Amino acid sequence: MDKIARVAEKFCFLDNIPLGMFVLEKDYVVLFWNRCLEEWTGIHRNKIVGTDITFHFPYLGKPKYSTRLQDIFKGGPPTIFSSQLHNYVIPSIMRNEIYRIQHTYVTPVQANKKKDFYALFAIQDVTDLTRRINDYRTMRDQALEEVKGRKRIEDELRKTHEELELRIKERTADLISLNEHLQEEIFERKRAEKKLVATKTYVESILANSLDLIITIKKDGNIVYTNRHLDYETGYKREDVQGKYIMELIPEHLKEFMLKKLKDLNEGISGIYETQIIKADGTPMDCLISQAPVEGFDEFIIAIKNITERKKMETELLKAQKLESVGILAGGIAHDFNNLLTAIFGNISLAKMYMMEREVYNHLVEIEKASLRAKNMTQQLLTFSKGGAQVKKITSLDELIRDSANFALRGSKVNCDIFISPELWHAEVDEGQISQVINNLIINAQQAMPDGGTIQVQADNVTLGSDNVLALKAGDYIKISVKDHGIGISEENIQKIFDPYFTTKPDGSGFGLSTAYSIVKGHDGHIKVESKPDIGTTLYIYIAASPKRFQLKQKDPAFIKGRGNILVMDDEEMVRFVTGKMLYQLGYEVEFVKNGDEAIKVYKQSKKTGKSFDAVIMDLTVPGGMGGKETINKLLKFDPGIKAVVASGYSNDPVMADYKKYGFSGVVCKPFTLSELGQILHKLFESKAD
Amino acid sequence: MQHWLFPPDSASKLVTVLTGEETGTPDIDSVRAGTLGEVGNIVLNGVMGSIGNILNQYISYSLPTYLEDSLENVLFIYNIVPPPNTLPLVRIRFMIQQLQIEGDIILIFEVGSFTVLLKLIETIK
Repeated sequence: MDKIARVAEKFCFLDNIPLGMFVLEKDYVVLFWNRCLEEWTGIHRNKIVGTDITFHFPYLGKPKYSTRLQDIFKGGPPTIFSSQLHNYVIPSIMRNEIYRIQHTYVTPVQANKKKDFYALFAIQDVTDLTRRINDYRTMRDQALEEVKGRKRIEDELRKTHEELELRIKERTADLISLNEHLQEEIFERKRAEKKLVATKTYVESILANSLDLIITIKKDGNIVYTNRHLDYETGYKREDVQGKYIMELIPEHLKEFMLKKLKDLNEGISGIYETQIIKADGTPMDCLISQAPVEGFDEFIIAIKNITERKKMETELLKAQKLESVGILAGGIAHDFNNLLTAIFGNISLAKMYMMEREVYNHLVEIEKASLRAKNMTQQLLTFSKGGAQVKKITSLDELIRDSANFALRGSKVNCDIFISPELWHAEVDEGQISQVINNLIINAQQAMPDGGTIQVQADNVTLGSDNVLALKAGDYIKISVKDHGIGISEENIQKIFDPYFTTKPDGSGFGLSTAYSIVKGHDGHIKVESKPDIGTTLYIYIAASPKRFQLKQKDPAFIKGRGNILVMDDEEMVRFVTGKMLYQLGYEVEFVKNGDEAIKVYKQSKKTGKSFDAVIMDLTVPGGMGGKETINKLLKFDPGIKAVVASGYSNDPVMADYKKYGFSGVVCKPFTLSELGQILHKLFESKAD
Repeated sequence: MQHWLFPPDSASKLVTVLTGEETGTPDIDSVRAGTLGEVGNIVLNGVMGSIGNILNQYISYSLPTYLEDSLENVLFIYNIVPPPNTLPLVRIRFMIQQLQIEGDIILIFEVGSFTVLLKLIETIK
């Protein structure tokens, strides 16, 4: 058996192994070629066994293989030809036209007892494994690439995210800052809005509570706004006038004037002026208007103050001023007239003394009576002038009422029924003034009944409680009523009858009831009226009763003569003359001076010469010179025991009412009669003697 | 017993250099393990061949196997050599600086084998 056959027999089992296996001799001759290699290479063992393998595969002869195979043939250690470094040892093309990848182990196999070795090649097909691994690698590398890409993307995303985060942070910071700014703005705006609302409320409150009527108008004069005061002042409802043309509220005669004011407003000119507006009831309302443009608006503000009352007061003040002027005039006239009457009275008294012829005497008596009435008239004038204090004394109103009523109705065709309570209380009054009140009321009642009739005068005692409707202090009062059955007073006029100058009579002065009102109020009393047209009028007077007892008047005594040296001071020559004559008739010696300076000088001289005056009669008022009030002050310093009598036509002067307070010992009102002068001096010297 | 030890990076770089494949991951799959086995086979044949030549002795040894683990596990857990009978003889550290590849070749002998080796060395003297 040859060598090839032996080797084939020896390695035949390798045909069944799924590895490519062949055996080489050291001269590279193939000794065995298994079935697997036949399939792989398509080379049948009959073709290759016994041939040099480099004939089939020349590269196997190269050192890359030969050097390593040399050791194998010497029995050296096995050798590996890895698939990755060699791809294949025996080329084998597969169906898919690619080479089979092979991992090859070469192991020495002892050939014989000699130290010869064959090389046994065992070739493992790792094509599929390699493909799988390559696929795996590709897949893995792709995965890694993807991972890298993803990581890169993630990095980019992270970077972008970080940038975004940064931008978001910056933007957030900006937004926070903006938000804070906005919050501040919102806060400021809210505060401003709150303040605006508060200001609006404040302004509305001011406007609403303003006592003035405030309106705003557009340029065309249409009313935009009115405050609540509108209704109160004018009677219009706010909704009635809003949108209305303001000229519709202006009286016809003032429209031209108001149009000019409206034009002023449109030219930006403010102003304050008086005008009138027509109220809802059609009556005019005097008003003071302050107008101005509203800054920032095409509107104008017009503040309207109702000055109707003020205008009325101004009118009343004007009347009062007129009245005061008339009063001053009346007082002056009364004073001068009293001086004249003093001369007339004095002369009549003296004439009566000398006149024995009865008829002439009677005429003188009548003249004296007329002069007495003239004196009463001057008293009324002085009362009207309201220039002085009342001269009050305890009085029986019974006699006063009767005398006054009868005097007023003397010669009239109107009758008077007088009902006086028998136990009528007394009162502390100025007789002249209360007499004048009664007189005025009777005259009014008489004039209310031009066709005649009966006036009812009544006087009663009444006691008022603290809750009386007359607003009088609680206490005892004398209630006097004067009732007529005349034409009555209309409701419209009844509130005005006590106003000065108010009269419904063509020739009336408007002083009668206003004077009565003034006098009664001056006595802390009350006067009121009740009247119905065509039925009649009743006037009531309440005068406080006095607990003091009334002393009956003593009858005038005859001329009371006396002795003494009298100094008479008066600026009026005729008064000095007649007074001197009267004093002479009364038994006194007289010297005259014109004013206070002369009086002081003469009085002091008389003291030095020892022929001092027992009394001084001084006129209270000396035009352009020192009057009685100032003179007595100076004389009292010189002679505290001086007896002085003040004489004046101003019978209601405070000095006359309270003469002792000013240093005088007596008072005599001009005009005075011989009898009155004698009584005053008698009284003066009586007290001196006391 | 001879061991050739590479850190994974160096083993991967070595395969890459030898095969010319593109640098990929340092994973050692079975194909690359095969490559390392061939390289190890060449190197060990060289080393052991040299020793055999010096000693003028035939040294029989098996084909290298590829193991991937820590050194401790490779030596002891895989029971390549039972610890009581082993003796590390040589540790050769090599470096291929240009390729930044480094590794160790460790020769481990059984106690009896080592005694024989010493005797053979003595014979040479």
